[in-house]
Amino acid sequence: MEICITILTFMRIKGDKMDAILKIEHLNKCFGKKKILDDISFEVYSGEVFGFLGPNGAGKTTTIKIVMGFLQADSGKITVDGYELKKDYEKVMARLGGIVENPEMYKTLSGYTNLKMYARLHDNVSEERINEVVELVRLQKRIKNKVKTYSLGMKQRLGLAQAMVHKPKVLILDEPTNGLDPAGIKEMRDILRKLAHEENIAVFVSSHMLSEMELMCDRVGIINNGKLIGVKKIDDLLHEVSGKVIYKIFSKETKKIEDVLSTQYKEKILSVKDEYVEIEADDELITNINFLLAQNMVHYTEIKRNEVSLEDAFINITGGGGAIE
Amino acid sequence: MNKFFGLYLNEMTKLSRKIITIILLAVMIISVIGIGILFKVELEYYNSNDYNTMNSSDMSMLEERKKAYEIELDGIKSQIEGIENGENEDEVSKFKLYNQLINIEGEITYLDYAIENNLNIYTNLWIDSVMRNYSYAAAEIKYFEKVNEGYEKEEYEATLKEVKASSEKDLKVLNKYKEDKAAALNLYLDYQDAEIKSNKDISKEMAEIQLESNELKRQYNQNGEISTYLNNSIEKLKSNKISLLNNQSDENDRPLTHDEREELINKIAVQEHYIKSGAYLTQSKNDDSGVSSQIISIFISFSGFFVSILMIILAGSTISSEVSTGSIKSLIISPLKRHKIYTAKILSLTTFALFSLIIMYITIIITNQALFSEYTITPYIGAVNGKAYELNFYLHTFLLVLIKGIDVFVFMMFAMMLSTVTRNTSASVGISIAGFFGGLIISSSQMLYFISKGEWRKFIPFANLYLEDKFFPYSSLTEEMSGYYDNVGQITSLNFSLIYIAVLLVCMVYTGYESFIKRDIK
Repeated sequence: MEICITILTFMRIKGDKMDAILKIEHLNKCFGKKKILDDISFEVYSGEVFGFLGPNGAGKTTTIKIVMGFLQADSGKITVDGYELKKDYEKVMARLGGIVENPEMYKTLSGYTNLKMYARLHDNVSEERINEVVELVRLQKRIKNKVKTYSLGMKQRLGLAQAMVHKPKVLILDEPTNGLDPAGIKEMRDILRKLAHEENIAVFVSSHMLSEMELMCDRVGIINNGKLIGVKKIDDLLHEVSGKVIYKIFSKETKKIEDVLSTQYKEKILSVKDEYVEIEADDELITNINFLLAQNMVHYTEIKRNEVSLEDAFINITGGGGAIE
Repeated sequence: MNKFFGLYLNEMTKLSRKIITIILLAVMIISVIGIGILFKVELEYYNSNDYNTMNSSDMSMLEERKKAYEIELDGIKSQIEGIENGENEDEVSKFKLYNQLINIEGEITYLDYAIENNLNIYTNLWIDSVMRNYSYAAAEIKYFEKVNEGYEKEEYEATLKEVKASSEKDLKVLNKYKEDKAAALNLYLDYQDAEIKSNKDISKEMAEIQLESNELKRQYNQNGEISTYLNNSIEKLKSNKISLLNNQSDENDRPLTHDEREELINKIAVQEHYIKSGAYLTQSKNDDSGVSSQIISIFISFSGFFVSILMIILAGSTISSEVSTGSIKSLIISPLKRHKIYTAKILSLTTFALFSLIIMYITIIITNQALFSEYTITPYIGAVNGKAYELNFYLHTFLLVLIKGIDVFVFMMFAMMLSTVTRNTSASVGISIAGFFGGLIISSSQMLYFISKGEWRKFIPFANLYLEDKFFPYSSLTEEMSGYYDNVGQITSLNFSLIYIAVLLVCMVYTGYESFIKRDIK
């Protein structure tokens, strides 16, 4: 009996932790005749940073705008913390916080007034909480100044403060590192990871840069041309795209190299040029190839290791992507 | 509800921090004060002149007129001489010539008298008519036998006696006027009363109306003068009473309809109340036309103009400017449904409009007190079922401001609807201001009244705005009495206008809601 309870409790904890806080099911949206979102479904869990990755015009912002209530989906269901967007709009919105595109504030008002105005629209946001988020985004010194005097990075941080002030369960950020300098990007990344992992918030971040996602996200959903290509753990994705190493063997006898290698490793040869041969290989294979070439008395000048960048891999996955508009 | 109140507070914060708000409210206050000062200067100038005596240019004009008459007189005299010397035998023309002679001599005597005593004949004083009567009578007596040749002796003498008697009365009044102006007026009125009483051609009721009117004049005899304005009012009251008695209006000969009769009874009640309440008896000699009510209406129309423009700009940018700057985002991501956001916007704009109207009211009252405190403030006098009632000046002014607020509110909602539908600030503000000006032009020129007589006019919005005259139909009465206001009438009734405005507002608000709630924000 006790074991049963223990197991159940464990399952619940485990279940809670992995409960999808944000569920998107079969989302469709057209602008006129143009299909922008085509049957998008995915889930975001509490305590993780979920990256929404895709080239410009893939439908990232449209998805976010539908979740945030800017646009109405043609069909599909969005659930946050068990509440459906269409039925319990206000409850859903109270659990969301975010920035859509650029954070836009009332420029003639101070940052603090902006935060305070936003806080009025939520339950139980105390002055202390406002000060707390201001401190978190390090805007203490400038918070009383008018927003029109802020730099883009400061606006971005103020936007983040606004998105967090009411302690949302899901934080949705559309390209949060836009316009930030490298230090700012790192800071933003740290803040988001801290929020997700320490405060158990689900952080949903969109971006078109895989390299950025790599450092920030736990899981990534890849979208292209309005279709969700797949949702993967960032490690899996990286593993999938990395490991592929291309070697270029520079030689005057490229024909001979091809002959030597084609007996055993024909499928590894990518291309044969006048100056070099391209081979896809791992560390072990290249050692073997090196040995083989030496055995056959093939002269070469250099073997150059060419790693595939994440960006190239990403372009490969999304088929070149490309803005639809 | 708490959150909704927060939303409302936010909207108020935004409105109050807009620079245009401060600018236009300041301009409104300055304009009221400026117009007040202008009006004050004009009044001072106007009051500094003495209108009972003539200035030099008036005087020289009279001299010239007199000279022209004298030349004409010489011509007629020589013509008459020619006839009498037998050069011309035409008796009829001789009779005509004598009549002309009487007129011209009378006029010359009259002008002489006016110049001699320095009386302004243009300000329509009662003494003017006495003077004229006397002068003409004197000329008539002089040539009496020439004109009345061939009449029977008894009739001739009776007529002569009558003319002499009335001339004597006039002379007595004129002599009295030199010593005691007030007594002279009373004497003049006494003679008139006696005449009315002895006149057997008019009915008893008619005589009573006329005696009553004279009694009023006697009552307001201020040192021998009855101001033009008061005199006009008394005369108008008399003519209205006579219309009612005869059951016939001045303009057309048909009997009065039931409504016209009711209207006339109310009018009489208001006029009587006006005269008897002494509203015209102000300290200022030349101005008794209710300066405060005039200046107030100028203040309200002028400052109302700025409040309307302010509210059009605020409402016309309410959704569109937030969409264009992107600040709408923080509203959309708030946990409040869009209809609440829109409602909060409408409520905050309404509150703000009321706030502006109150500022307008305070400015008007303070300016009026500061600049025109020496003029008595006249209450509004209206009438229901033939009974007059008074409305306190301050309350009346406040109500006028609120009625202006109806127009402001209609244009505000129009601008807000356009702002929501077009999502373009310039277009919505531009179109609303164009409509505002167009309405002012159409209503001020009474264009609607003259354009067509068709029923469709009723459904033009501008025929149903500007409700001051409909709520307070008797405020124009004072102006009407002074003679320079011609009430061309209203196309629609108050109730029709109110229902029309309500329907219009519902349509505009509904369109705005639908557009804001249903449309995507890209």
